[in-house]
Amino acid sequence: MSIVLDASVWASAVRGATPILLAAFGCLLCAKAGITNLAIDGFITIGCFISVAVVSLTGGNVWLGMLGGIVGTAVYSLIFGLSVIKFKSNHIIASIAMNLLSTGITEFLMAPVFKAQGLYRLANIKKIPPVSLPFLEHVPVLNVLVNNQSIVVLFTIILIFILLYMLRKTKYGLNVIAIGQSAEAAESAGIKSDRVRWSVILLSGAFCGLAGSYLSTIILSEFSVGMVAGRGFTAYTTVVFGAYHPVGVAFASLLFGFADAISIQIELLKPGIATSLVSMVPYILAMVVLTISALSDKLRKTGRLEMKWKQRKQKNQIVH
Amino acid sequence: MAFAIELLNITKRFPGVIANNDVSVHVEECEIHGLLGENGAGKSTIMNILYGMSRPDEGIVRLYGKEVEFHSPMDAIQQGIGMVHQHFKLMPDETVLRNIILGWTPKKGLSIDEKKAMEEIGVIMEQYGLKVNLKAKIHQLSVGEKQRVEIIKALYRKVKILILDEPTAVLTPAETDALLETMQRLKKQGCTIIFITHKLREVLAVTDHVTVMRKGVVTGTGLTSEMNVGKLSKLIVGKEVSMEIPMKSYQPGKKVLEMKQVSTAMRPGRMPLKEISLEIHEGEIVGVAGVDGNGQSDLGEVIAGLIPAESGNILLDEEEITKSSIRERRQKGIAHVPEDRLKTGAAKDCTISENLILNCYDQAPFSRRMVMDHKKITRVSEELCEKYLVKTPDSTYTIGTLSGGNMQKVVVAREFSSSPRLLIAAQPTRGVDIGATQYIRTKIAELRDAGKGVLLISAELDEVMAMSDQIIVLYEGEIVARFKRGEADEYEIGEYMLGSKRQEVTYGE
Repeated sequence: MSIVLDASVWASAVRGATPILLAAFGCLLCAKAGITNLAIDGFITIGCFISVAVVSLTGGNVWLGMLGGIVGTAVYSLIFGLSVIKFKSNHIIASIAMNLLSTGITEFLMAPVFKAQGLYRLANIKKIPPVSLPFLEHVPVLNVLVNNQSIVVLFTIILIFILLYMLRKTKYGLNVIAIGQSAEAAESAGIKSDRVRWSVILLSGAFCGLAGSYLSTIILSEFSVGMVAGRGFTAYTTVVFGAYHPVGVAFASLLFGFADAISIQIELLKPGIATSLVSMVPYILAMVVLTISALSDKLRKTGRLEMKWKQRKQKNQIVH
Repeated sequence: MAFAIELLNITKRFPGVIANNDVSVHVEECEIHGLLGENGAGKSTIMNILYGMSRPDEGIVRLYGKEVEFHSPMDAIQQGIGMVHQHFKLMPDETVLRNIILGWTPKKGLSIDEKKAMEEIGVIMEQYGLKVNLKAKIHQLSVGEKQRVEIIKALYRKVKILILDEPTAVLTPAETDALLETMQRLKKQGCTIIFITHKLREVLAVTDHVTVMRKGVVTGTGLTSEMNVGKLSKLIVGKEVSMEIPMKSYQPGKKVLEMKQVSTAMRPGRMPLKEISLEIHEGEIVGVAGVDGNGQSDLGEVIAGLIPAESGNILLDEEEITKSSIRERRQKGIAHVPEDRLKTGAAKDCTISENLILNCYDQAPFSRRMVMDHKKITRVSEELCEKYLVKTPDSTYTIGTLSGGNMQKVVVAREFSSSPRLLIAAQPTRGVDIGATQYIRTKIAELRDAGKGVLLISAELDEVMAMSDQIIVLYEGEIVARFKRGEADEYEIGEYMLGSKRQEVTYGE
């Protein structure tokens, strides 16, 4: 029980949630525009690689690494756009291909770029210090979650509200939603829908690039094959579980961040338990979550949920 | 009076067909102009050209005397032309307001200026007498309301010319009357309307001029006041069609189908049946009237066996079939023309002949010892295509290449040729042109005269009233009224359809 309330666990849950949430936002925007983007997993890998490469080439400059990660991954995401928008290929197949390509290309480029195999540690990295917010010191929950975190964490939290505002209140957001709900409605309203589709894929690339930078140059200082560890798929899970709503997605990814953090804690406190078992926790959670949302979807589709509602309503009416 | 629109000598070719051949249409300012024609007559093509969705190969478009060229619907909208499509182009999970301002969004800083939009739309709704709740989500609205949203959407874009593409196809009689009234009001406020439709009655009631097209050319145009039903239908099909369907006098025989308090389970988007009791006799057409979505689909499907009955009994020729499979029911003599010919009526990627034998491919003479006799199948298919006037070079084409009307003829040919005891015809003439409609109705009448029972489910009240010996009205899954032929007029039936009246309906004296 004490682990659950431990401040350091929660702080590390937020850190763990950040890259997932960034990728999830990319995925969410694509989903709103009717694109199933599972390529985000590969995008994060590319983001990690480019960031580490830039940091290593610029003598440890993490800021430039971050910029490189964002821009580079956005450019890389154009391949996905080309296949999905221009050639109208199946989104899932294109995503799988992108993920395979990302793994392959980074593994292949490790040798010429880093002169290393499998793992490359950044020796000369100049870490960005965490942002301390003294005015939060006496605010109970927020202090634990937000204070002394990386600038990327703060940006991601602000991004929740930017996205919320964008989808509900701006013309761009309305156009994105229109394309997802009825491409015909959008076209007939004169919206250049392919342009909007390109924009959401570019944004998803940029978000994933930042997620990769955060993972490889802020949490860690290395690039290794398989370091993304399925975070892109977890991100997709949070999008579904968060009901395609920015705030819902944020809470869902915090849940996964927490599962991640707690598994590390258990590893530290109870050395007897096999680490491989413990590190399965987030993935088991992902499966449970997907099962629940699939079941509730099925219930909704077969109308059983609605029926229960109606029955309950009728009962209430009889009572009154 | 000046012309608002002049489409001059428009020709549009598609691979293999000339969709529009030297078509000219003149529409005056502030008039309602009817555009009539069968499916595939080229009405949509010419309207798509006017709306900027496709470009003509030859010919010019003039707007208020000035030559214009549209490259996209946006150009057309900016020049004041709006279109309400037959299939609404709306976002189902968004509010009415956000649907209206989509693509035409007033901004305040970075945000959408919802207040300003709301005020502007309020003025429009006031001016034209169109009321919709702006905060409601689209999926909560009725079909008529959705259509109103589309019209407001066009007016909000400052449109002066409105193209309405078969707007009444999906409406109830009352909703249709309301729409026709709205059109008159729009006209008085200075709108020009092009009204595309199949329905002659509506054209005669509301338009000032009318243009009729057939096979890509204009076959007639003129003042509506100088037209009548006979003249128009001749222009549409190219020959005189009698709207009367010849039928023998009504002499019902034995009971063919009996339903005893049949209920079906609740499914999303469907209205279940609640304790339906019904009888159909030999030589009788029982017509089912009702607003779409009041249990008609379930009624047809529960008899055909596509969905199970939750309670109650279904008897065919006094024999229990409630638990029988679809195939057993078909073998006992039930034929079914399903309402959705693309989903349940035909296999889209199969050939015409394969579709024609779907209900009996495993029986002689088409199949012997599990091997199909293709020669025989082809011969019978060719015969059926000829007999049922399916327009196709031969029966080896996939059915998906046929027009809606011809596809329906294939389904009808298959079902009618199985010499059934009972025919369930669900929306048999939906989206089918006048010629084919008339043909299908005649065939249904022939079955009745041959002593079969027919259940005719149709959203077209005219059709139900013209064909049926008995009319039942479905409302929210229940039979709320039963009439004999000629006992009630369409307005009285309309009241039952909308649930404002109901009678006690019982069978068996």
